[in-house]
Amino acid sequence: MKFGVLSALASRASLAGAAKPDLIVRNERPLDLETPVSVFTEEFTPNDLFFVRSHFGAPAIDAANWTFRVEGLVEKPLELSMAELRKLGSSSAPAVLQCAGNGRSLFVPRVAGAQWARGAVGQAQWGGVRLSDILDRAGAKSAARFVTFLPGDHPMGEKVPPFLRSIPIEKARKDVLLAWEMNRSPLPFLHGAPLRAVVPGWAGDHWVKWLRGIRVEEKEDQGFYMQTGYKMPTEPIAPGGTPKAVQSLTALPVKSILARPAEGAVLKAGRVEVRGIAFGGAGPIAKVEFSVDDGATWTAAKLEKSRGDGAWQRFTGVWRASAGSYAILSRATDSSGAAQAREPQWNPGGYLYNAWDAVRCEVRS
Amino acid sequence: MIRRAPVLALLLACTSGNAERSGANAPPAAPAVAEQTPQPPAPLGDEEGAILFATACTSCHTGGFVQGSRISEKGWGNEITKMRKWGALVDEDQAARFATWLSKKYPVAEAPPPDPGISPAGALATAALDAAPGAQGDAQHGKELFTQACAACHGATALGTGGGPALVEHPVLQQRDRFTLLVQKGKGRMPGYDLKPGDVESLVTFLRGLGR
Repeated sequence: MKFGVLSALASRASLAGAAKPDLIVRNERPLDLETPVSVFTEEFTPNDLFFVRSHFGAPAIDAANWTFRVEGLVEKPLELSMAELRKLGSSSAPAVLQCAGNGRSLFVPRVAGAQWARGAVGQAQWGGVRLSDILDRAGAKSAARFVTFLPGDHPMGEKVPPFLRSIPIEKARKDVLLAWEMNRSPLPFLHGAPLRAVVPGWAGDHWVKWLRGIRVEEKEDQGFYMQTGYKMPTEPIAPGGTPKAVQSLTALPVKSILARPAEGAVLKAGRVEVRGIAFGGAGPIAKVEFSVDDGATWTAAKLEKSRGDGAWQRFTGVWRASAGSYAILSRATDSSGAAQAREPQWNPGGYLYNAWDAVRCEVRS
Repeated sequence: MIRRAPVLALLLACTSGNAERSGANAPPAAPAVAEQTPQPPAPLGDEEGAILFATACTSCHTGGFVQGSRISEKGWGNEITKMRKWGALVDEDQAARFATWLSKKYPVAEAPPPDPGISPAGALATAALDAAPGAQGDAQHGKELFTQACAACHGATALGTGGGPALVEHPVLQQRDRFTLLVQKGKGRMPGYDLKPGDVESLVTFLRGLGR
């Protein structure tokens, strides 16, 4: 068997001992690695510092004999090799990948699941083929309403449900990519090589890795991960409460994350740059503000132009800091007017945390 | 391939623990039946909880993942209900007592402890593949070894059971040294095994043949 997708691992190993930020290990088995937020001054998160979330762990796929299949409600079922897929066209787009559970450890009361802090997110330039081109080639039938991604990772046991996620066919046709490239390098093994879904603006649970194929269907998948997992209350509930009704989570809510200053930083009085990223699934970010007085007054930060739906925008604010202890807060507002709130919307799955971001720092004269 | 005596002794110790536990939870003897109000089951002892933790959780999760969760007793109850459906080896009458044990052993109030045993480099090494696997083995011999020693926990087709994870297309099948060490030393509830020359190649050749 040949494995040509290990370049990221090799370069990761060469970083050992270097004074660069490192991934934070949240869980070894299955492997969950978190990006340090200091990296979020970069437009693109380097592949070897990009967070990793695994349900069952990477399968040892033989890339040479690997095929991608299209089945279900299509005129022509397909079975394609990587070489054949690459001939179907090549598209590239920047997009934010954020784990649905990013920020879970910040919920009170605590919630079961990977205890992410703020760094289960990153942005890459993704390259691959448009899913709409695949659907056209296979001839999706008029009854088709959903596309279910068929992953390559194996459940831990026969009673454990497979990780099957479905998206509506409108989303599949709009902007979804099947990617083999990440930041202009071959997609790394831990990030789903040889092929993964890229679902701009939507939470990471839809970005299925190690794709063996898709199933075109009239209904969404009826298994655990569509019917029970990844659900949000339809109405806000009190922390620790039980929702009356739930719905599948889809697009990411508006959010900002502070990259500078670092949590616990000791700063010199004077000009301090407040930097970070902002994004959301409902379109471009309109403004990002920061506050150093617990939200009483806010100062607008300079915001990058949007590079397209699903991409993040970096911000830089300037703070004239005088001596004292502070919490710096950030708050993003999107073009529809939706803004981050002081408190997160607590939910039993610990999903989609998007309260004001906060870092504590001390300023000395 | 022969199971090693010390590990066998440990396994027997665990088994006897299970036996005592199931003895305690067996249908009550005649005098107990006569009682009007049945006593609530005794809480899990520390050792009993630790054995259950090792047998039920660590075949699929690293211990730190469970220890670091720090959720409430109710939260653990929900997780255990879910995991029992997925094959975790927790008896029905143990479930509530195990939730209590986990919430007391790893209380919400205490911050999650750092896991000093894992470095990022180490975690990535476990995911790295050996691109040049060893010599081809005898798949039939590998199947016989697997059926005798491994199938009870990992499943007859290596798709996993509550007792052990799936091995089909598992990255460890590309890591000869790590695979050998794992089988020789054991891991968690898995005992170690003595290996004859050629056993590793045969097992790996058989297991790799099970990929989709």
